Amino acid sequence: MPNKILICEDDKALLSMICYKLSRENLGELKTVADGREAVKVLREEDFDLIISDIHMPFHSGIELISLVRNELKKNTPFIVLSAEGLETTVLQAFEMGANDFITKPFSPAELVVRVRRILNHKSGHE
Amino acid sequence: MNEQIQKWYGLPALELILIEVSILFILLSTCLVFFLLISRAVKNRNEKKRLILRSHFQEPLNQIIFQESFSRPDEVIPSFEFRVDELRSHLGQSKFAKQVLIDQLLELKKNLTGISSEALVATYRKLDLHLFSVAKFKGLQWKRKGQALRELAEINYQEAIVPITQLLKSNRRTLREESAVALIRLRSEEPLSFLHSYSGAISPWMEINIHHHLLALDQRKIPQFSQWFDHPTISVSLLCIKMAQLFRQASSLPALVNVLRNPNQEVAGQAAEALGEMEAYHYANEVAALAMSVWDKKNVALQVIKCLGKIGVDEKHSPVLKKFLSHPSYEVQFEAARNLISLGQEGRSQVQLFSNQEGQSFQGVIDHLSEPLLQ
Repeated sequence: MPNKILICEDDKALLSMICYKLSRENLGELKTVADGREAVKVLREEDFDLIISDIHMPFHSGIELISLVRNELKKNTPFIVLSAEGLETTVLQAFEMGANDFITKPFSPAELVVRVRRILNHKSGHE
Repeated sequence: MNEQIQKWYGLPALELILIEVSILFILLSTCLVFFLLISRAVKNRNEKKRLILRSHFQEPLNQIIFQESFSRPDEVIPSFEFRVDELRSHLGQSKFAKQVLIDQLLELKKNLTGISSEALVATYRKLDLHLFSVAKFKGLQWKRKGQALRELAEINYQEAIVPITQLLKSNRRTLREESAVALIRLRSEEPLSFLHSYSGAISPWMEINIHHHLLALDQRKIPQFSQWFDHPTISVSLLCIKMAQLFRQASSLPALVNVLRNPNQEVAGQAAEALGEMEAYHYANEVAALAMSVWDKKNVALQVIKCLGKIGVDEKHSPVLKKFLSHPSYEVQFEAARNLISLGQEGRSQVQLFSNQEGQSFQGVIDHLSEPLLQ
């Protein structure tokens, strides 16, 4: 079964670019959401193999999404956080909440692919 | 005319005026409602158009970012050229479409690094969008000029340095500030060179931006701030002293000592603060030698005292600070006493001795110093 990846990003151009790259690399089935509220709804309804989320989004932040997944839904789905430069404290907070990795914007799409692949391989190795 | 209407309808003058005013009000309101409806419709239409254009641009942009190979059976066309042509066909001659594409390119660029980012810059140039941005300088709208400044700086279009430099003399403050920040970004080798000819004031917004951009620079490219310590514009001098302090530029220390003699109190005070914060222990004697010359300048005196408190040597500089205990300003007296105590044993004895000599008149300072919240 292909991996299911949820991408939460409010910047539509960036969202499209990430989807394009990940789909070209055949990394799995992609689902996208453009805000935190939509992300919460999708996370409650479906299971994913990986979540990639921006920190700052309308309605619910990436940190709130990690909290939802780890504390409320009690899932250990791998979580990659996208954050802007200079938000080191937020990144630390994300790790404390249970994020698995983070990428600082601006980033290289190739780096994102490497990180996604590593996490998915790690996950499938454990299963 | 009014008399005729009054005659025709037999209405009193006051009622007639009220009717006229009401009619005028209804007409104006109707016009306003129409104007709002039309502007709303135009805005909605533009937004829809923008979304359609963005979706058309996104696919070729994705392919450009990832530099995917492309070939056609009949002819070999480099993929980049092909995608750029595709974008060009969407653009046509529309200024609106060009602006949408520029916004989209910049949005993507700010999130990407490396070759992906370079591919977006190449696209911008290949489509001659830099000409579109530069043309905005010729317009009358300052907002468009500001927009062009940000676009050209973001894309690092070096050829725009000359027109941007001219905007440093703009009558509008926002444009002056934006052009200064754009020049810092464009001239990464000499980021603050615009200061040589800058006559405007440095606002807090500029200060934050300048600091932000300098932080992102390679440390070897940080300029020698002391070259602007004597700048005719006070805010430029202050900015450079603060930057020398924040970047702990040791090579600026000798010049900073000279700035203590600056006739402007704010500049001299800032220099004293910088010397203290930079822990310029080697220059403690120079600061002490100047201390008495700033007696009449309260703010400078305060900073010099704080500076000596940080970099001074107990036995050597306590006598200098002691003199300030008899300063007419309570604030200076208090600062001198506090810094004498922080210097060490000799300083504490000086305060005690002075307190014994002065008695009640100095008791306020002593009580203030023993305030638990200040400990």
